[in-house]
Amino acid sequence: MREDSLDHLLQIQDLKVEFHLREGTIRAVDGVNLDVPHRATVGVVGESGCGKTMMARAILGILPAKGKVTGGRILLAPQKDDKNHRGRDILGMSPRGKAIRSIRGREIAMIFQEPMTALSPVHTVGNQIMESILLHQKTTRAQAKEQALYLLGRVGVPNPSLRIKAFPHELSGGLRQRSMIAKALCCRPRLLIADEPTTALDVTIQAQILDLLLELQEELGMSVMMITHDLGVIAETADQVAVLYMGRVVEKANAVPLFESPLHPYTVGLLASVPVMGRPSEERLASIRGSVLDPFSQVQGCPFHPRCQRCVRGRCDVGDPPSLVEVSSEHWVACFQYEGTS
Amino acid sequence: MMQPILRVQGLTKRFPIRTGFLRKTVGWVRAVEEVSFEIMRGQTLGLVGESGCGKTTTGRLILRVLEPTAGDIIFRVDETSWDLSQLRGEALRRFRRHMQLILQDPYASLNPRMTVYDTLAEPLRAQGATDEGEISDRIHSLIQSMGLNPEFLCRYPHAFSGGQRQRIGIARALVSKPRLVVCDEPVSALDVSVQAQIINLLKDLQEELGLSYLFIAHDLSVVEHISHRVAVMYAGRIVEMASKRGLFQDPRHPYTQALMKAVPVPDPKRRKQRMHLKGEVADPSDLPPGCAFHPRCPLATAQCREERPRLRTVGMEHLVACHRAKSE
Repeated sequence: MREDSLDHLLQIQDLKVEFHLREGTIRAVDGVNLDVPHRATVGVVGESGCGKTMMARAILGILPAKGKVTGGRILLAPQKDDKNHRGRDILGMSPRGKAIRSIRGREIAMIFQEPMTALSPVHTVGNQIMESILLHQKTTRAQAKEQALYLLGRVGVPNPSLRIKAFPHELSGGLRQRSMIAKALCCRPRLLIADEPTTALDVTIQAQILDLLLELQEELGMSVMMITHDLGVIAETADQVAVLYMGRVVEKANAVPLFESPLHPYTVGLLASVPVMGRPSEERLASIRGSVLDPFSQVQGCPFHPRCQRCVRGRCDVGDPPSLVEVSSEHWVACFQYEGTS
Repeated sequence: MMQPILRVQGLTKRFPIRTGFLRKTVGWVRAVEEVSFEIMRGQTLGLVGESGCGKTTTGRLILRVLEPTAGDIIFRVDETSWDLSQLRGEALRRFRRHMQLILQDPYASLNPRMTVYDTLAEPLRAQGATDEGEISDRIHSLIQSMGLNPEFLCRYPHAFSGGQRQRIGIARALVSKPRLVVCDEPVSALDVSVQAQIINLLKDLQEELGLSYLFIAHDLSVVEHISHRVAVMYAGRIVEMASKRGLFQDPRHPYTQALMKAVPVPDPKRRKQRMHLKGEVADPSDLPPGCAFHPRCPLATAQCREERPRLRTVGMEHLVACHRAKSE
């Protein structure tokens, strides 16, 4: 892949993130390849501990202190007015340097699951939005305030001139999440990373927020990386989906084929274990046996083999993990039973 | 014939809002208002609603963790009826073995300094069991029916995954052989693949032991899967109650309908032609007059703004509190 012809906004290539702890090494992200096209929504789905949040944090260079990127590249496409038209490798930038700071919050913004912890409790919502604006744009305080008021109104906060002076704890969960979206979008980012943006919200509020995100995506022409454990949220929002298991992408496809004809046994199991409303069954739910392995364990072969119904001894439990192969057009799966079928 | 194990009548809980030096009461949070329902023996009543609707408070009132402001809680054990709202002191303590609680967060609800064995033995000892052999037998048979390895008994909670912890939480609830178990969001902290295991386990245990559940959850699809009857709460009141089929096939209250439409379905081809609720849940300390749902309701009329709708029957065991819902 040539660096100067990025047809995707973001390319994650063989990303590896490790945590070196006293108890051992955790491979939180273990060789992830993922592209985010322009103006599209890429859903990243997986259970707790699958590495989805650490992948997102690596993109912004905000890994926890013990997390280290040990390999790979993350290429961000050049901006339109950028003269040298080359993709920039985010991982090559110093995490505290000027280069990443001009990307973080401006070109790539992130919203988090719990806005109560992501927003500062001692500053008003308005000041926090204005801070981002003043940091990244050449503008006066008065103009920044004007813009913050507009943004709060745009994301559906009722009575913005009153709410701009509110502290996060004075707002409901839904309003807090709206304020965080306003803060994230104030510089019209090219990519929004949404990490479980609606998990802490009630369903009726969740529906409002998801609609708002899709609407703003259209309006700003940005790409969205939607990270969640909720397959319903993925189905409602994503154009493309990547399924993560133990730090690896196990399946990757457009949304419709992924939900209609999942290939990886893990994806199949995950989809079968979700109770679907309006499809009640008197029988039992299908479930995946066992649970996600201890993150310190070093599994031979496919990381899913201890829980897999279709595991073949001597093939799935030895050697290197299976690599992603393109089984049909744009449908990739990392499973030994599909090797050689592409 | 089906017998109710629990009958709740006009259950109400108001919390005072106190302020100032003299802690003067300046208002009331109406957490639960005139809630009535029955739970049949061996069945599950699902209680759904959004945060702050009073579903957890209802569960705690039934367990008498909280003192009800008004209302009766009639519990039937072995042909005898007990009014829990009247029980006090030692009598209440002795009664508690019949009802237990499963909590949401298996990380927070187990004592990190007690082994699994001690966690499970504690309720038995508290109920006066002294024969250690009997206690040990009971715990061993229980832990196996939970699908856990007996070796786990000497370990501490930190050694377990979320799903295993929830199994231990369930074992602790069941060790005293209760008749009624209040499950408060028992699977919402778990990953989907594990969530399905726990739902299946709860269903199996119900069948095996004839347990009755009050299943409190915000997730409609989980509730549909496990319940026989379902009640929907909004701002402290039950707004609709029906059999599972009746409620999910034919929801009558506009809130129930909106709630169902809001649930994301894992099928990208069925992306919603949405009808979304505007606004947020009513504040229980400052409820709007009339129907508490009217500020968000697309069907609200002048009557809804003034007069509170009563729960009325609109079909086979189907109750709705809405002026606009049609009867059959």
